[in-house]
Amino acid sequence: MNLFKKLFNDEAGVSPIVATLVLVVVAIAGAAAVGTIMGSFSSDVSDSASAGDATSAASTELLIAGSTTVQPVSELLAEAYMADHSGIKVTVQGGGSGAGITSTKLDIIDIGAASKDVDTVNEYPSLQKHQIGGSAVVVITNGVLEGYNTTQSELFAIYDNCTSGKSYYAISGNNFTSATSGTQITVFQRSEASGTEETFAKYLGGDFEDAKDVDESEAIGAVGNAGVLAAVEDTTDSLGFVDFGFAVSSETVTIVGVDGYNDVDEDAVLDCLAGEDTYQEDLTRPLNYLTNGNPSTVEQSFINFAMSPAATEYFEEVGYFSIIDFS
Amino acid sequence: MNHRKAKESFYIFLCYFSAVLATLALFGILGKIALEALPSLNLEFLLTPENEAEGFGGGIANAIVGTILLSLLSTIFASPIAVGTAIYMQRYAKNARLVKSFSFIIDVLSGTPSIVLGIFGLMFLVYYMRFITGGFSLISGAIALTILILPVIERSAEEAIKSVPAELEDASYALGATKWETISKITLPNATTGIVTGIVLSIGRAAEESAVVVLTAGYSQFMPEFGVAAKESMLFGIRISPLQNLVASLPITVYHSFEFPSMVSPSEGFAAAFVLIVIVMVINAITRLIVWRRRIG
Amino acid sequence: MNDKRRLLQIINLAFISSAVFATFFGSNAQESNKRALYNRSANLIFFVCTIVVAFIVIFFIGFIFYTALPVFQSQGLINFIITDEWNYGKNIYGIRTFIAGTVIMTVVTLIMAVPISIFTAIFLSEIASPRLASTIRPFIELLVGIPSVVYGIFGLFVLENIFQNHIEPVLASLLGFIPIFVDVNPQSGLGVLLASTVLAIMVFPTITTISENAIRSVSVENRHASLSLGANRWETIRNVVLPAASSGIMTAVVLGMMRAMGETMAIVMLLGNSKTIPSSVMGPGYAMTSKILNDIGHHFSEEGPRAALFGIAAVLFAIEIGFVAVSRYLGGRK
Repeated sequence: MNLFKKLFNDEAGVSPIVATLVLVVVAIAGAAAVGTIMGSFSSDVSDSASAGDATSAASTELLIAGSTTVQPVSELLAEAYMADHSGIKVTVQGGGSGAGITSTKLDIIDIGAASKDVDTVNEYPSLQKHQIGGSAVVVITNGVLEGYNTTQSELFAIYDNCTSGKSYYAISGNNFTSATSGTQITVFQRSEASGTEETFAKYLGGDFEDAKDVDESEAIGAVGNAGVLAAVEDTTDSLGFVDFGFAVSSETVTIVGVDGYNDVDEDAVLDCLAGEDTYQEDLTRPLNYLTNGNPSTVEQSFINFAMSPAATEYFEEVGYFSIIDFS
Repeated sequence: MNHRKAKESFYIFLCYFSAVLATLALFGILGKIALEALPSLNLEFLLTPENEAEGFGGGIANAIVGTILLSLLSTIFASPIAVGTAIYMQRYAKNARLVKSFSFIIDVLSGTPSIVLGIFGLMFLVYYMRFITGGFSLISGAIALTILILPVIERSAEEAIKSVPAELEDASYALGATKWETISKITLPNATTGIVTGIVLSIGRAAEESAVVVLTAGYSQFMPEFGVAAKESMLFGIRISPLQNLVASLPITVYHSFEFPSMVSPSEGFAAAFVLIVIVMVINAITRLIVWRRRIG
Repeated sequence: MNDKRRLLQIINLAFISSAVFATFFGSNAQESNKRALYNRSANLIFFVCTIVVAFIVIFFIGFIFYTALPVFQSQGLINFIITDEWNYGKNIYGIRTFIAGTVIMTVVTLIMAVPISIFTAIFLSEIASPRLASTIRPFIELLVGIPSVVYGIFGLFVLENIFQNHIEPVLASLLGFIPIFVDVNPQSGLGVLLASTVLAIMVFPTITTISENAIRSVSVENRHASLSLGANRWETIRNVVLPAASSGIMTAVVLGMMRAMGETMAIVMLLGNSKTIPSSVMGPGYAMTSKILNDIGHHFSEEGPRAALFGIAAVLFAIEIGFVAVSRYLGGRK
């Protein structure tokens, strides 16, 4: 004790020896404390009896997080759901599909949202997915390419050959193709990683499919479906891809027919989502809610609500389709 | 001679020009933001939390309260540690090399890009510490912001302590006071204004941060609630609101107008931005007042 | 059963902490008076504060680099920095484009911000009357108080159209014969120029305030000596004051540069997010910070992509630590 006394009274401050000693003591105490806390935590997990009485109270709160694509739908759903079910509080947050999947798996949130297909068989066996809706990605254009159609390989070439946001094109008959010189169009893509972009990248194939995004092309990025739509609207002679609901909400852009599916309207997309051959199937994708294991009563009730006919309007408001629309 | 004179006038004109340009830019930006905000800026917008407004957006009361909670809480966390560190560095530590390397550490921290701190918060606080922080939550956000503002307070506290005249302290020691007595009765009272200035500034710094908050505190349409609820996945099986719950903040509301332009109008974004600027500027004005009072007092 | 266990653990914790406390204070309290005890505990508390801060910072830095380690191992550090391909599926990551985007944007920012900031600093410290200077200074400091996300939407919703329709066409027609002033994308205002303009406004107060302090700290005697030798006001500033304040001004520039490099929110909105090395100041690019923010949410659940994004953060952090060292070296030279 005299050692401490001497050293701490020393005007010259704490010497390295004391520093080390204190660090060691603090480290031991810290480790012991953490051990104690972790111990009590793991006993929480092993002994779920004490938690059992708690679940009824906890379940009046629902936390949804994940895909920013689904976020607006979830917010509208949550609002309508809470209007019907007083006493249940539904909080909605973004974060991205990846954060949604991880958070659900770790039980940080109750329902995760993912705007891409989630492999619940191999990759995330603890998760259960509930498809609440779907959407189709469409190629949109503004300007000289209006009224022309194209194919997957030509789209691949247009994105692949894009430099500094511009790509050459040529028109032959009713189709447009990629070219190496001549006139150019401005090409847009999504800035942030998203389900829409991943779907489109998968459709394009090649390196884009591997990369899960089309960033490797030098197309200009815009944030969100609305961002890409606005960019294509504002830019004459431009091309981009958005979810169907966004494309039809605009009067300035037209949808490009792809791979022979030249008449892309709501019926075609809905029929395609239902499994018919009316639109390029590779461009469709599900909107999923995820739960960790079986959903609790409240989670199930909310998911049921999201899948009910009453909920379709909220999907349409945002630009997607409810599962009801096509099943 | 004339050439020299012309050169002088030219450069002095440049100086005037730069200063005028800078001042104009400020007024231009503030004016434009206020103008854009005007259509949405009304009492109802300010006082309604988002969940009570119809649809997406529509109210920012939740974000205003959230921003205040986040910045106050992080300042409460950071201040004691930062001031304690500053006292130690200025009055106790004598090893020159240690002091030097420590001030390097503080410099590194104060220059940290906020996104780096953000993903650290996302990975460590939100995911690894989820039993304690509850994932995206007020406490995660506040701890991340604490790291962000630590160097701000530490620096200004060090400056303030440095500026306390050595004679005062020497006199105290000569009277037989111990080191702690000298620090608590002489050094700290004399450095108070400087320290408080740093603390108040850091509240503003925390309030305006967005990249860190979006990755740690998340967002919630609801007003922060106070209470304890059971949640089995967390430490001791309870969740303490609002600490371990999601919280909204103004920078995120502003960001939403960019992220969801089809659902949140730019005008609402600008209105939230305007409120945020007003909050930060009121805080800065308070700082100014403290400094000013010190000058005349 | 569970409650009993938890109670035991709490008792255990209390016991440990009281033991630790007693180690330091308990036995001493009997043999020394209260004053000495306070003195000692104050010493300990401040020391612990310092240790806590040091621990936080070191843990933070270590955590970033540790999380990024897998990507450096799989790609090789050099390869990670100098290659271009970024492919989540193939697990190939190279960040040259992002580094180039950040660097070009920062350079353009400094070209715009540094002259104006330094002239304003000279104006405030040398030319303006103290009264005028103290009127203008708060306004400049107010610019600091505008959050970066606000600068972002201001640039996007207000400046973008102005740049697209007025500034870029004019600039391109005046200077278009130089390759870097070609308006590569007349239909969009987004790009390096817009991002850098907004960044320049953001770093302006930082550079101005610190430079002004540096200029002010040049002694009055030097100026008087120069003036009495017949030099006029500008010559004195140019030949005496600025050289004397140069290290302070350089520090200011480095700090401004760090702020520009680390900026996230405004850049995500304004740089165009096109994965290309900007060929012109009006062309789009992709900054390191934007890539992290854009992709971390969507790819968070996968380990490889997560490490890659932390890799960008680690590189950015390393660059920043380097600049801190530079600015300290410059500051220390005085």
